[in-house]
Order: sequence, then structure tokens, then C-alpha cells
Amino acid sequence: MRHITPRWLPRKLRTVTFCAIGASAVVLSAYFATASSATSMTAGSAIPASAAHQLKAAMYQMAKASGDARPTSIQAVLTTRARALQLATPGETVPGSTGQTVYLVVMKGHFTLREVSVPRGGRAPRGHYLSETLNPTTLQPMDIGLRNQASPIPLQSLGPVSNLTRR
Amino acid sequence: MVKRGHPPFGIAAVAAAILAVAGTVLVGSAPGASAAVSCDTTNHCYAESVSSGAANYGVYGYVYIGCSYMPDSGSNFVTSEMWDTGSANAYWTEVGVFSGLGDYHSWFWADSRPNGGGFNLHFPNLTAAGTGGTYTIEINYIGSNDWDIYEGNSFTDAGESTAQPPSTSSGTTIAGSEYTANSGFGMRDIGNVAYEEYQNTGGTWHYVGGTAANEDIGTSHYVTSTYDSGTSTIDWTGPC
Repeated sequence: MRHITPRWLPRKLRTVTFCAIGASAVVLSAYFATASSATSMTAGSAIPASAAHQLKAAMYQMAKASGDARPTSIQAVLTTRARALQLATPGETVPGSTGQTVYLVVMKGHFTLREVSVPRGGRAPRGHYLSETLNPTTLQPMDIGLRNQASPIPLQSLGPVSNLTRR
Repeated sequence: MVKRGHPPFGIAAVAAAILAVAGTVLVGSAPGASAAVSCDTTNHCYAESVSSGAANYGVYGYVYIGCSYMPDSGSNFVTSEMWDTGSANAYWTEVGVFSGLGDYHSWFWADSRPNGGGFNLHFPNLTAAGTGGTYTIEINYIGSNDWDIYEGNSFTDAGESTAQPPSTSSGTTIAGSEYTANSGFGMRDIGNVAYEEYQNTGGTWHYVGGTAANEDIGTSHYVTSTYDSGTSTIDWTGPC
């Protein structure tokens, strides 16, 4: 049974701007610093070489932070977020994802996610297949999936695959 | 549906806000605590309320964001959130606000499904929460091992967690803050979750009330919490 939000719920009218000013400046500068020169990219099209180079650097950073600096493989496609979720986080849905273009990156390796929230006493998630969707403009992560089995959905079914693995 | 009273929003939260405006930095530690173990990405620290009992079919509460900020070091974060966990933390779902790793007040939800579903994390298409705002969050079991997530600045559908069987034996409602940086790192963290509720397997919502207690976890924890069973509210106060 869904909880019904009371209509009388008040919003607190507290002004705590002290913290927000500095934080906003940091976030805005970070946003512009990480924004790529991504042009209008279409789901299902190939990832431009310049964008792939930038994406590759970001994903190796991610792989290192996730406990495997030399993953066996890193592959990426440009697709819709809805289709990416079918592979990255099977069965789970996020509203508004159908028309949203994202990078879907799948890495194979030995990963431990220590930089994600878990309940007290919970173990850091571990797995061999780390899938991530990213905003093509900011490269900010939007969804992350980590499991031990590869997805039954072939990555190439979503579009041309860019191999980002270092040789 | 449970008849509900007006949430008075606790005195402790008002005090926390006053301290935040004053720029007060509070640093505390557990009695007898050693500084040997840090709050870091290996040893997450928590200031939260925990209510364990019968099986949960959902959690609900009002999260207040007094201060929530983590410098972007590339690894640390702080949250304001609720968890619904099954027995032995095997399956769990969480919902709330995340700051750090380039995010600031971003709405997120995540789940763990050890039946092969692994770990899953989402940042839905929602406008970031504001400082000083109070927002409604909910995890709701809808049957067939599916769970709906509601959050955001206007309490909207944020997605659906799937293939997650509800615990039939026990459940735990947790609310509070999780953080991964030591004192002095620049983290800011003041907030509360008010009027925490859980849904029983019959679909009735209950305040956690006297079944919950606060826990400040981490040998070097420095965000301190207080729990008010009368309003089922957990307040936490850290640097701001």
C-alpha cells in the first residue's frame, strides 16, 4: 500500500545559506571543468573518437578507484538510458530514461565498490562486471550495476561498440 | 491508512540549524574511542537510528537537509537517507540525498540483491535538493518482489527496484547519515529524518517510536545523533 503524503505537510522555512554558498561555487566549477566538448550525440550512433578518448581516461580512473586498475576489458556504446538499464541494472527502471542518451560502459575485472553507500555492517559490493551509465556531456555517473555474471544482452545489440581497453 | 498528526519538526533540528548558521564546528567521539581507525571509504561512519523488528514492507520519513557537502576528492561522500533492510543485511534498499564525487545534494537510490542481481545504484532525473529543505522519501513494497521508490523535491516516482524478495522473518528501518571522511576534511553534515515509519506485511504504516535507538558508528565518528522516540525523529549534528 503506497503511503499518501499528507497535504498539510509544512516545508521548513529555515535559511541555512552559510553552507551552500561555498559548496555551490565548488560544484559549478567542477561541472564546467568536467564538461566535455560533446556535441549532440544520438543513441545508437558510434562514439566519436575524441569523446572515446575522454571516456577512456574517466573509466580507467573509475576502474582504479573500484579496485582494479587493469580491467580485462572496457567497452562502451551510446544508447538510451532505458536500454542501458536493461543491461546494467536488469529489471530496474528510472522514469524519464526512454529518451535520454547516455554512455553505457561495461568493464570486466575484479571490482570492489567502497565509494558507495551501504547500510551499517554491510560489505562493500564486489563483482566482475561493472556497468555504468554516464551523462555524455558531464561524464557524471547516472547508474551503476555490479554483478558476477555478464549480462545476457550483448552490448553490440545497443549500437556500435567502442573498445576502450588499453593494449 | 494510519491517521497522522501534524509533524512538529523537532526542537533538536532547530538547534542544529542555529548552529549551522553560526558556522559552528562540532567534533565529537565515542567515549574511549581510539583515533586509530578513520572514517574513510573502507570504514564508513554513520549517525543514524536503527529499528529492528518484524518484516518490513517499506519505510517512510521526512528528510531535512541542514548541511550536506563533501569536497570532491574523488572518493568521499556523505548521505542523508533511509534504508530498508532484510534479515542479516542480505537484501536492502536505500533512498536519499548524496553529496561528494562531484555530486551535491543529488537524489539517489540503490539496492543490493544477492540472488544474482548484485548491487545497483541510480541517480534519477531529479532536481538537486536544497539546503534547508525537508523532503518526503519512501520505499514501498508493491508485491511480486518489486519495490517502488519515491523521493525528490516534490515526492515523485524515482524508479522501481525488482527481483528483491521481502524478508519474511525480520526487517530493519534505518535513517540517518553515512560519511567517509575524517574530521577536518571539510565535510558538512547536519540534518534529520522525522516521523520515521515502517510498513508491516499487512500494509499498515507504523511510527518506529520506541523500537528505534540512535547509533553513532565508527571509531573516529564525529557526527553525533540524538533520537526522539516521541516524534520518531533522528537528528544528527556534524560540521557545518
